[in-house]
Amino acid sequence: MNASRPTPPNDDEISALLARRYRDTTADFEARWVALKRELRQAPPQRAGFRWPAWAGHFVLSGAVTALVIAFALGTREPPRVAGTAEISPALAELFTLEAALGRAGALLDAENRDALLHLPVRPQPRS
Amino acid sequence: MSALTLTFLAWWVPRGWRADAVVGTDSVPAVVAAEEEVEWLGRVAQGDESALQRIFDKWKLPLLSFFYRALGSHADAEDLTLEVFVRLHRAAGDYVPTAKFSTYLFHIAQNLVHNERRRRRRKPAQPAPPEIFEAIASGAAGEARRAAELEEVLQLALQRLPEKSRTALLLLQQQHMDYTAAAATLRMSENALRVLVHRARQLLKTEMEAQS
Repeated sequence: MNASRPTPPNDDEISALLARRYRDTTADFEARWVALKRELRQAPPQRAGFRWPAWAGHFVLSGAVTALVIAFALGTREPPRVAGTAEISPALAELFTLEAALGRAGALLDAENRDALLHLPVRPQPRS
Repeated sequence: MSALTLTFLAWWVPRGWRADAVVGTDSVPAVVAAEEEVEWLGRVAQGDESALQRIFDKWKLPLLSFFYRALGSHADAEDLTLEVFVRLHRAAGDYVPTAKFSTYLFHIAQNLVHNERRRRRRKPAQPAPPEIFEAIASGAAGEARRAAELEEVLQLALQRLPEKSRTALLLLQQQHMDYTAAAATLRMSENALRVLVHRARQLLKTEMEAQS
């Protein structure tokens, strides 16, 4: 053990040391406080503005979780089944059939022929 | 979305978002007794300078003592004590007494210590003038000398403790806070605080013995 070091402290000594407080302040500290008070006087405390109630945060977060849950549930849901063709009216079914047969032919028409066909008279003209 | 996930959310949401969940409901008083500081702080918010002076007069020495033990520097202790009152003044209008005033005050103090220690990694100790401290010796020459030696050893040992352990010891043994208030200040449960303080005392004693 170093001769210049004190003997180890006992528990009571440690407690007494820990409990020890300042008993006074310095004159310099008090002078700084007076100067600080002067500064604070020129900057008045902020007025309390509107404050959200404590439950508002919980409410918003719960809402966000609910929205997430709903969005997730909707995103993973299977798409609704398309009604079968048997339920379509006969006229509409005929249109679908025509579209299936002729629709692909449209691409074969070049622009010139397509214009000519579009301008054909509805009733054939009698030949002179 | 599975039922399991929904069940987890239903369990977690009420716990995870409550600020007092960490502290534990048993450690936070449901009704906080009216303290004179609460009234004073309300008057500070209205521009009453004498109310701020009252708070200063009551709390300057406890704060100086706390900061000095936490940082080992008398100059820093004075700086941070004044900073606490700047913050109190700034926040006076928004103050809501949800816990004891001392809990609020030392929470500010603890944050300041934390920031200060992060800001400066190593700084030479600046001991406070011995006459500024309360005397613990009876006055006999031998006792006074031993007290002065132990004072230095204690201050060095305190600097080696983890920040939370040191703060816990100071709140309980220097500031005489009860466990409930100290636990609320440190944002931990009372049981965790008891364990922390027990270990901190052992560590402090070991550190002091190592330097003796």
